[in-house]
This record gives sequence, C-alpha cells and structure tokens, in this order.
Amino acid sequence: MLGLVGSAVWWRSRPARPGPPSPLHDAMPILAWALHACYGVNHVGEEVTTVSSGKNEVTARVRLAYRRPGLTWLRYLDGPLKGVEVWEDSNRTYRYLPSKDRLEVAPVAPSRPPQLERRLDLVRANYEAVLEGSTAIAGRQAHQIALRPRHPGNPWKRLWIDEETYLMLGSEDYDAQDRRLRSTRFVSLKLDTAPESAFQPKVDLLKRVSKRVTWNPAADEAPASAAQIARRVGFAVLLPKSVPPGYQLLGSFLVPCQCGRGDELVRSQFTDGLNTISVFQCGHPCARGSDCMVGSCPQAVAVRLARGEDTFLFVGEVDRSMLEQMAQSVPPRPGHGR
Amino acid sequence: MECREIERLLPDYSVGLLRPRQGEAIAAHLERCPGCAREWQALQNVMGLVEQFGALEPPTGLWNGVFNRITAEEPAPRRGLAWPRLWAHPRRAMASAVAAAALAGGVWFATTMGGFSPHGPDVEDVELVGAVREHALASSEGIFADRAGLESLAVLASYEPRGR
Repeated sequence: MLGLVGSAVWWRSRPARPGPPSPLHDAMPILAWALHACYGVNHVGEEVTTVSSGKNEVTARVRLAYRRPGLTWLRYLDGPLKGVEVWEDSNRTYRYLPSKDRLEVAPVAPSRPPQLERRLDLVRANYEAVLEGSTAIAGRQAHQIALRPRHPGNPWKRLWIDEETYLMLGSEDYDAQDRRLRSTRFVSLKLDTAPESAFQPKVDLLKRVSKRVTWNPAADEAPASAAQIARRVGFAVLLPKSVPPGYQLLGSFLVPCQCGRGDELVRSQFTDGLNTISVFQCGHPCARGSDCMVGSCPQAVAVRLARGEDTFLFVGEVDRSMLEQMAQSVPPRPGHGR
Repeated sequence: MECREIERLLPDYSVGLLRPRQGEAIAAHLERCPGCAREWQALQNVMGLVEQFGALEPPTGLWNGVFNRITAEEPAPRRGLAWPRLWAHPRRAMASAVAAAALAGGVWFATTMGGFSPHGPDVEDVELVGAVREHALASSEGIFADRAGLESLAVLASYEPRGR
C-alpha cells in the first residue's frame, strides 16, 4: 500500500518531460494545402482590407471573385479607391483607375507549380509556422497561423486558413517591429463561381478608355538572368554581393524608369519565400548626389545609391540596415574602380 | 518650345494629360513645324488603329491577343523619326506617360484627399513612388500575398503627390 502511495506521489511530482511537439503545432502542412487551395477553389466574396500609410490607415471593402484556372476579379467598393477594378487571367492583369479614367494592362508573371513549391521550400527554411488556434471568419472556422521569421529583421504575417477547404480567409502583415502594415479578411464568402464575363473588362469600358489604354510592363513576362537583361538594356546589371540571410535572387525584370528620360531600368527581385526585396538599377546618371541616401515613404523602406552612371534603389519592408548592407555590397562596374 | 521638348510631350498631349497652356503651345508648334506634324500624324495613325479595334467590339480574348502582339514586338532599328521608334518600344513610350500620370494623380490626390504625403526627404518622390508601386505589384504575386492590400498600396502609390 505504502509502495502504491509512494509511486503515486513520485508520479505526480516527477519533473515534466518535454514530449514531442504536437503535429499541429507545426502548421506548415496546412500551408502546403492552402497554397494549392488558393489556386483551386472557386469563390466569390467580400473582403475588408486596411493598409497603413504612415500614421494613417486606409480601409476599403473589396468585392472579389476567383475562378479556376487563375481568373481573378476585384472591385473596390468604397474609400479612396472606390471604383478601382482589377481583372486577371493567366496572361494579363487589367487595372482600371477611375480617377484617371485609365486602364492599365500588364503581363502576369507565370505561377507554375514548381515555382510555387520552390517558394514554399523557402518559406519552410526561413519561417516557423505556428498554429495559434481556431477563429471564425465570415461564418467559417479557420486555422490561425503565425509565420514567424527565423532571421531577425524580417516582416512576418498571420494567416487564417479555412479548416474545410484550406482557402486563405484572411491575413495580417507586420514589420520586424511588430507594427501592422496590412490586414485583409473576408466578411462574406460563397464557395461558388462568378460568371465568366465578370473576369474581363466590359467592352464599353475598353471603348471608353481606348485612347488612354496603357500597358504596364512592370511584371514583364518572366524573370530573366542578369546577363540576359544586360544585353537588352545595354549596361551591366550589378547585383549586391550581400543579401540578408535566407534571401535568394528570383530574377531580373525590365521596368520603365520614373526619372522621365524615357529609359528602362532593371528590377531585380529577391525573396525569402514570403517577403520581397526589389533592387532597381538605372544605367544612366539621374541621381542628384553621389552618396548613399536613405529615404522612406509610408509603405516601404527605400535606400538609394548613386554611383557613377548607375543609380540603385533598394525597396523592401525589412529593417533599413539590411537594405543599407545590400547597397554597400554592390560591386563596381567591370573595369571601373569605386 | 523646341522640337525635342515637343517630341517628349507628345504622348501626354495625345491623351490630354498636359495643362491647357502647354497643350496650346504644342498645337501652335505643330501648325508651323512639318517635322513634328509628321510625328504627330504617325501617332494619330497608331491611335486610330487602337480606336478601330475598340469600335469593332472585339470578341472575348482579342484584347489579350492585341496586347500580346504589342508587347512581343521586336525592337525596331534606331533610325529615322522618333515616333515610330517609340511605338516600337512601348516601354519607353510608357516611361514618360507613367511619370506624367503619377504626377497628375499626385496633384489630384493632394488636392482632394491629402493626409498621405510621403516623408522621404532624400529621394526623388516620383522615382520612389514608382518604385514602391512596382514593388507592391511584385509582392502581390508572392505566395500567401495579401492581394487586395497590396493592390491598394500600388494604387495609393500612384496617387502620392510629388511635392512635400
């Protein structure tokens, strides 16, 4: 009897041994399903989105529809973006800006399964996916998952993934100092499909703005290597030697330069799977100074480097020191000293 | 105004983005300068084709085909008048148009909404907002991206005023 009591006391007072983590604590498998669901589940709904812009916030209701494969439609229903409409198919994005009565057309970067898997591998390597609980969003039960960076100085995000369909029902983006940058979640959702006509600009709209149709080649067709881009623009594409831990070069793209000289510049895109750093390089001397300059705007951090004929602009949502380090590591042009 | 300046402003003139006084100056110049008038005519011909496509009420998918063709064109040799070159290089034509549109949008935003003035003291605002816009659009193509939020940012960046 005494033995039994002694055993019971010992059992209750023994130090707790850490057991294996709950399988659901690592939410990465849920995210893998969600990645496929966001391209495969037809749906129509309304979202509320809030973006921070300095001390201000802009909130808008957005009507959204998705239909396989890759047809997307968004319409801003209120706020300063009221009337903005976006249509996307697997080839093009059409973006109508009512304030300018302008329709922009841009190529869509291809999202093929191997590229998505590569991105997800990067997310696995650079973020920890923690299941925080279960929350109701738009009348549906959702996994609440935090994606915390393994490397300090990176932004992070919180996602709500539908427990039944794995559709992403909401997201919040935070910077490295845990300040909320963006928040979007469904307030109503139907797992259904909108008519095909909803996914194209109406002919009346195209006719009305036909004189102002513009196309924005920002996304170009697909990322190219620095060497391929250099042949097209006629100057050496210089990539930083140092990139923050976990980041990889996705590729380089051609975009129009904003300096008004009509030249093209190169945007090289780095990603850690979730987050993006853009490095813009202009091959002509449009800078006002020769020092590395730091600027900020409400939505991002930017570091500018002007050196000789080249001007660089590093843009991201990471810590500024990361961008400065990248800027300092840009090599000189071949045959030029610093 | 000199021909070079006129040449630079013609894209904006063609879509009515210039101030009335600038527009009048360009119209007067076109009256008396045969070279610029030829370039203007070339531009009008192109725009006429675009309008013709619009007026025919194209079937579903035709617009994609048109824009695929435009963006897939090979660059033309660098010779002759500037306008044919510009239209063979839509990205170049767009560079000035985007800059002007960003400026026009910025003025509109500053006068109607306010509260979103950029506070980057060291960076040319028009370059910065353009870069932020491209960055937001690139980010929106990422996995688990907040599409609606990033589209908002891209559009708001288009409306940012150039001045402080």
